[in-house]
Amino acid sequence: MSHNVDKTNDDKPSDGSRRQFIGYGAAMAGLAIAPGVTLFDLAHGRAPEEAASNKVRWGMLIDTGKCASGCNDCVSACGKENGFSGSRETDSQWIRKVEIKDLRNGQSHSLPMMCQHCEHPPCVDVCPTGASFKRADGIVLVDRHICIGCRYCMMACPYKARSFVHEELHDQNPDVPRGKGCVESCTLCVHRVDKGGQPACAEACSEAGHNAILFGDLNDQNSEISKRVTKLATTQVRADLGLNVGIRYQGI
Amino acid sequence: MVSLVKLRAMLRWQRRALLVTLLAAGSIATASADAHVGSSGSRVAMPVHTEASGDKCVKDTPYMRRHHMDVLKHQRNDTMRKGIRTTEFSLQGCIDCHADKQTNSVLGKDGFCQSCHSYAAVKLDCFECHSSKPKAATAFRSIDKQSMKAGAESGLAAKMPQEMQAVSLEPNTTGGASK
Repeated sequence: MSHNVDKTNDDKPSDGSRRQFIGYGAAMAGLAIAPGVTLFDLAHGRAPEEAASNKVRWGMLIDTGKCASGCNDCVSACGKENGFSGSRETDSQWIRKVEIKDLRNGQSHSLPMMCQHCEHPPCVDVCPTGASFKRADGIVLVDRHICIGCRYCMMACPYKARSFVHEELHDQNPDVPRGKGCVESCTLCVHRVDKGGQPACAEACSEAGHNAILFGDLNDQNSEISKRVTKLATTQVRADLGLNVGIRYQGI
Repeated sequence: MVSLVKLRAMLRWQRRALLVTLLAAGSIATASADAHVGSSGSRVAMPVHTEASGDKCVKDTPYMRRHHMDVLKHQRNDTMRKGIRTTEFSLQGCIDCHADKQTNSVLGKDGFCQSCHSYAAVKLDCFECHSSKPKAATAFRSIDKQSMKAGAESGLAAKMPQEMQAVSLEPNTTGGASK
């Protein structure tokens, strides 16, 4: 690539080569992501040897006004990234679309529902082995190495966010190890986030032009998500439980 | 009358004969056991060590033989609990280097991991969850800041078409409708 850039340097003014350079960068980051999103991606990358910090709190803001009824882009992107298609009856479900309707005035909303990455997760409270845990940056995960598949966390979760793997799996994504006998749920695409990316669902939503899912750091006052959460009326699903979830909804 | 000397000599001869018979019987038994195994000369198949694609392992061979499980476990806890994703002792790193060139996997009869584990009779359950294939095929998916920077300097763009091709060839699951 460097020699390409050099070549352009000879032919065109420096501004052109710079633009081309940025273009290559955007193309490598995910081909069709909007430039703003790409720049944001690069901003929160962490060094590989650096541990996740509690100064960060990852979260998502879902704008139900932009989430179309019947659209399944986030769900299929999640399946593709993490290795389940939903074609088998026992397949896991990390994210699902929910349609809600106010019976008094007929107003309806469509929204994706997944692990809400609670600050006080009930699944972690009940886990007998310590397999279910919350990482320093607020992502709730299952350590499959010590999960015994008791499914207590599935019962404890108020959002029905967790699934049990019933059958043997093959051809897993090398970044997403999954296997029979463990409980699993949305990882907020932790393998992408650790490398400075965003979850597959958020990426797919913005690539398709819906922009209904915004991913970011709730603790960073300058992040887009924090600004919107401070400015707009957002909702935590089952806020009465006092779990302080990381996934916020706007417009419900 | 048999002299004492003659009696002693006879006994010695009998003892010798017994020893020779036992030795002969023993060697026949060993030979027949060997015949079942075939030409390998051992009861179980010897581990196969296919040539790794990298230059040199992260540690010397005797250390890795004895301690690979410890370093992998340490790395596993760091990555899982703290999100530390260094590559020195990552399982993916092992697989990238040691996957068989024909099967593209560390499993199988001649696979680097499986052949040795079956020789040592140690259960190998990493690959019930982890992929046994190198990550190279999916590298394009998770391009990060480092590789972008490296790409700008060392010509990643030249490699891009190959990697993209690898992604499209990969028999991974496709997305579909949710339940």
